[in-house]
Amino acid sequence: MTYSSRGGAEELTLTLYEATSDELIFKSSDMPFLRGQVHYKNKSYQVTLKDSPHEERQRGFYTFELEAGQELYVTLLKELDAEELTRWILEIPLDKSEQEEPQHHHLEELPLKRGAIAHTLEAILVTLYHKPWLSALLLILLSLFPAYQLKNISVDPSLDRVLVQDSPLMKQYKKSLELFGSDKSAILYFKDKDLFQKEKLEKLRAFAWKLQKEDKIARVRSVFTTTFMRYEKEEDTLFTEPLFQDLDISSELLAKRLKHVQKDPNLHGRLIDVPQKTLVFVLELNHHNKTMVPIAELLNSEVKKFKEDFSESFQTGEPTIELFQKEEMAESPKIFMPLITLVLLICFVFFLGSSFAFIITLLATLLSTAWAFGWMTYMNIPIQMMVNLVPGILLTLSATEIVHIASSLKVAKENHFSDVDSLRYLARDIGKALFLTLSTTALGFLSIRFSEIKILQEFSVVASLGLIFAFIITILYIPLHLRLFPYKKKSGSQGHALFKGFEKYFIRLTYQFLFSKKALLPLLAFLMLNTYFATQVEVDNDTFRMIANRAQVKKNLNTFKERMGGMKSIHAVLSFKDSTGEQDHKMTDAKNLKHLWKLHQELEKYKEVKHIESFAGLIAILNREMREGKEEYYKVPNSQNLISQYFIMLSRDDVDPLLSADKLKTNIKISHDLSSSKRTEVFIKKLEKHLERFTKDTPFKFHLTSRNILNIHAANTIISSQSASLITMGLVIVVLISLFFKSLQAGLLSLLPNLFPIFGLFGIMGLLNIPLNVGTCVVAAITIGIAADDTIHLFARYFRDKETSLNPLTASRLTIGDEVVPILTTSLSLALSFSFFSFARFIPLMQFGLLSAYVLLLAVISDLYLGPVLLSRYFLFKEGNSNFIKWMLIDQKTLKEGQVFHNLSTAEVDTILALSRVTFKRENSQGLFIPLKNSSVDIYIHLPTDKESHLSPRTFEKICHNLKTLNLY
Amino acid sequence: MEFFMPSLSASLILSFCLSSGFLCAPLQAAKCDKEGNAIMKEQDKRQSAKTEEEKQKIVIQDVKSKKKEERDLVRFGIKPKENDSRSVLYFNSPATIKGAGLLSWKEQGEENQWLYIPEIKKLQRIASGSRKEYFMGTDFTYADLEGENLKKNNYTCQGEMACPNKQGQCYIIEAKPINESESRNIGYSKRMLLVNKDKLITHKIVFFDLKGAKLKTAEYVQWEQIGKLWRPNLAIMDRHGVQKTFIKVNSRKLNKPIDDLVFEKRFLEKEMHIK
Repeated sequence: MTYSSRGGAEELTLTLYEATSDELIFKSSDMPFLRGQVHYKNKSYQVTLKDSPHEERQRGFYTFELEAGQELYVTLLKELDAEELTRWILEIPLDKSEQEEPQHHHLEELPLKRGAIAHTLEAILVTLYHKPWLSALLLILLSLFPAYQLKNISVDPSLDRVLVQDSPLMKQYKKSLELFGSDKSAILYFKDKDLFQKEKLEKLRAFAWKLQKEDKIARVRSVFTTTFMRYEKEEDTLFTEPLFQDLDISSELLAKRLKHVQKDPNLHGRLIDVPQKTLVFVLELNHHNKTMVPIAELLNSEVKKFKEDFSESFQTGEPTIELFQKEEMAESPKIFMPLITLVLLICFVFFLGSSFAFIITLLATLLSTAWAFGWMTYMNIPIQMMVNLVPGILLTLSATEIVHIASSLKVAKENHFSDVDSLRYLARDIGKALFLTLSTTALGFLSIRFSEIKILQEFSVVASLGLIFAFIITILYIPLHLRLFPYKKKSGSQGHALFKGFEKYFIRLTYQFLFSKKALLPLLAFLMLNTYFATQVEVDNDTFRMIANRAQVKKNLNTFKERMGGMKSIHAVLSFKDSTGEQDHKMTDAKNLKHLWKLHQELEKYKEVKHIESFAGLIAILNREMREGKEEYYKVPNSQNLISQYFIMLSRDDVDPLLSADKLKTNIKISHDLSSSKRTEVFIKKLEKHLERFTKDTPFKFHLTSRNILNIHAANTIISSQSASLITMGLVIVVLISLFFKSLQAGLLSLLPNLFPIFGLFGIMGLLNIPLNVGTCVVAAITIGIAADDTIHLFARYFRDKETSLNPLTASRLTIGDEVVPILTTSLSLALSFSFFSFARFIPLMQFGLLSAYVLLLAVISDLYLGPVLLSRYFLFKEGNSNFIKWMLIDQKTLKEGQVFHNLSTAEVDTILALSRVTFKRENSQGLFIPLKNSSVDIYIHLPTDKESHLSPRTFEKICHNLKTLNLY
Repeated sequence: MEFFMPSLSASLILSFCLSSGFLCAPLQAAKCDKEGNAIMKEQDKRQSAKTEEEKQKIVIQDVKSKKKEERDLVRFGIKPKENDSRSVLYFNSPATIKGAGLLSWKEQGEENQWLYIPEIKKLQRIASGSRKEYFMGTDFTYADLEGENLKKNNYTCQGEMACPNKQGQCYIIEAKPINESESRNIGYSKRMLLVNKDKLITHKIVFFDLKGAKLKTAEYVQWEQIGKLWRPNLAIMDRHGVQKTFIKVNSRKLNKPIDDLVFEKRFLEKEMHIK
């Protein structure tokens, strides 16, 4: 059968002499090149040429020139929709080429440049391959020091580590501890319907007395140990002893006392709730205790003994949170790491077809974790809740790199390279990229060092070290592994085929859209929406909110909060504006005490306030009880003498937490239950305003302090350090990529694919109300690390493919083809692995896992789509295009029906096209620039002046007329 | 109340020995020649007075700020029968607390206390249960001021050593409350006393809190003999790192008659003590 194209001076005649289901083999006529459509069996096909003996075989598409009589092998592509112009760019018949016997190349034949880094890496790998004992020896020697240090490893779940240590606020807080004692306390809660029976009270009293002897407890506040000032009319006696010091009393007296205690705000609602039949012990802890875990463990074991005696008994407060963290730090790795490891094994084997990558990932993770923890111990950094995440992070980032290494080795083996040559190939193929990814990721983690929070500073050091060690271990081990277990190329796995199918159908389907201008809208919408939601992200350093509701610790916290409350406190410390001592005034002066009592009453009115405790309040209670309990005397007396006489009645234990020994400072404890850092901060601002108004007309000045305040301050530093970290990472990526690819444009182009997941991360956090806390703030660094890793590999691959392929779009297609398997393998397997953390009881860990999984999936989009699209767009813009692109991009049907070519015959249009070149911008060249407005990209047909003579005068006149009519000439 | 005076260096050595619970070998001359309870009983017998009258100056000094408060106090005490006693004390200065006083009766095992607040002219009966409470802002508790309660403590002689300031040989006596309840009542797990063998006066007492940690130290110095009895004219209570109280006795009378009216409620209520 002979086929001829219709019309035009340029015709193609093909002789079909073989046909299969998807391939027609023609013999050519005397045409210089092929374009147009082929009709066969009533179906239309676009045609491209697969092979030419005159061109060096390259991967991808080819341009060529035919000689008459030359045979052409034409591969038929699928039927195309006229609008899907670029789709068929991607339909490279690689299926066919993959089914063929692979080409065997020699290493030196491959166009792989060998820079200094690749050269060094190659030398190391080859040397170690030839001397495997050296690999083993180095691994052992380098393990000795950290292994030795590991015996001293310590764990510190202390909540103090989430605070900023070297700050004026911390110094102020420590001074306040010395003056007024600690605000760290453990709380014991007892409830029972028969609570006030003598037997039960005796048990609790004995327990309170026992606790008074405990070293770690500075003070036990309970109805058995705390002063309860009351006047008992029947005995005409003022009692100051604790409510239940003496239990040998009649039931009537007990009932009277229980009624009386409800008038004492320092006790009722704090240490006892009579209607609720509840007693509370508040154990003020010694502020020199480094960690609250031992006391929490002790109290838990003690409280358990009361389980049979009381319907409810539990411990709550900050010590339980520290204990919970310690337990989670020990338990979480035991649960999640095996799960993650199993998932990785399954995914790697399924997608990559071998366990090579898994084995090396596992080894690199285990060993680098051991080295990092050893060095960390040497630097006196304990295992804390953030450092606990390091093994998981090392696993993620090692897997990302090692999958690329495995892919590279696979290609080497496909070329039948020996193991040594495979290592050389590895060094040349991705050596530079590996080093670059290590640098960007390690520097990225080090940027977290900007944080003022100790726990994050330590984490950044350990994570960075771990990454560097993982790289070293990988480089040292791979040659050894190849010697021990020679690499055998396996046939493609099912997962691999799955990814290729995904690439072929899904990516090709969507790629054209993404390449078009229409894609800008959803992209911008995505960026804008996420930017908006990102502004809604709050910071939260509230340790109470770091525990999942289903954990018993949290249930206890919530129970206590609902029933008693006031677990958190803010301390307003007042002193005198005149600190020279020239004015001899004291807080116990009647005038000053009156001001303080007024303040006490005003602060009590805030709805956020659960309870106020102040020296003025203490005097008011004493005044009332000294006056036979009459309510009208519940106030600070006016008489200085009376105040002095009351003062000598008070014990120092009652006064010390509220008044300094020199009487120049007073502490007002404001108890509340606000749960988020934001709401607490709002309340603190209210308090500050109130106190500013108050101190304006009084001789006082003030400052607010407490662990609450320190937590808020630490929360706020998270934002500033996060911003600094992101900016630094962005700069590092731009600079390093620019240096390595010797192209500033490359560096700048790399920003969007790297920042895309960041937008998504903060957007989803704002949308779902996930706060920025010590757990989630490291996700951004990991995000950029992962995205940068894949972007760098992608860029490296792209730049190489760009040199060998015909056009930027082909290069992007090839790059995607090469990178889709490693990118999807690591991203999907790690996303699945991290999603296991959604079952964690420690909320920052749960959020870290889920956000990391989400970010990994976003990184797939940015790596497989944004990166290649950006690069292609850039280079297409920069370089214009070759004739070959013209065929791909131009919708010829639309073109021919457009106004530009009105009244021109198909042949005339074909001629113009044949003589023209396609460009993406108007250049300063002579000739006709004909815009193609209906195309999905902006394209101009440039007919150079020297080519105009090739057109018939009539054709030229027609086209000029059309352009003039359209004001385009 | 019995007060004795050690030398500074001996005090330091003793403090080290007592606080570390270790009797320094070079200073330990011999084992005790008497049993602890017997020693303290003998002390009580020898040094007890039927009546006591003192005018004291109390200085309370905060350790950190070094700020001082001074108070003038008058104290009367009487022991009408064995195991019974009455005492009254009141402040003469500063002006803000002038006339504030405390009346205590211990009779037939029952204790009663009344506090007088001159500003509101009220004599208020107060519960005397908290003997471990500090007296009027000083570092002496009510229990400290009662003196040695032989029935509620077990005394064990731990050994002997040279008394402070070359005052002879001293017994090292460990005083422990008889039971947990008493320990909690007074606020101490134990006390270590340095008692002069010859004069049976207490030079020094180290107090240990309920956790067994050293809480405070009392030193009794400037001893004066009045008849057969010895009394210190200066007592220093050092509540380590917190506060110091100095009680200086300016004048004292022992075993002189005191009007019974002084120990009645109306003495304070009618402000006879001020007038």
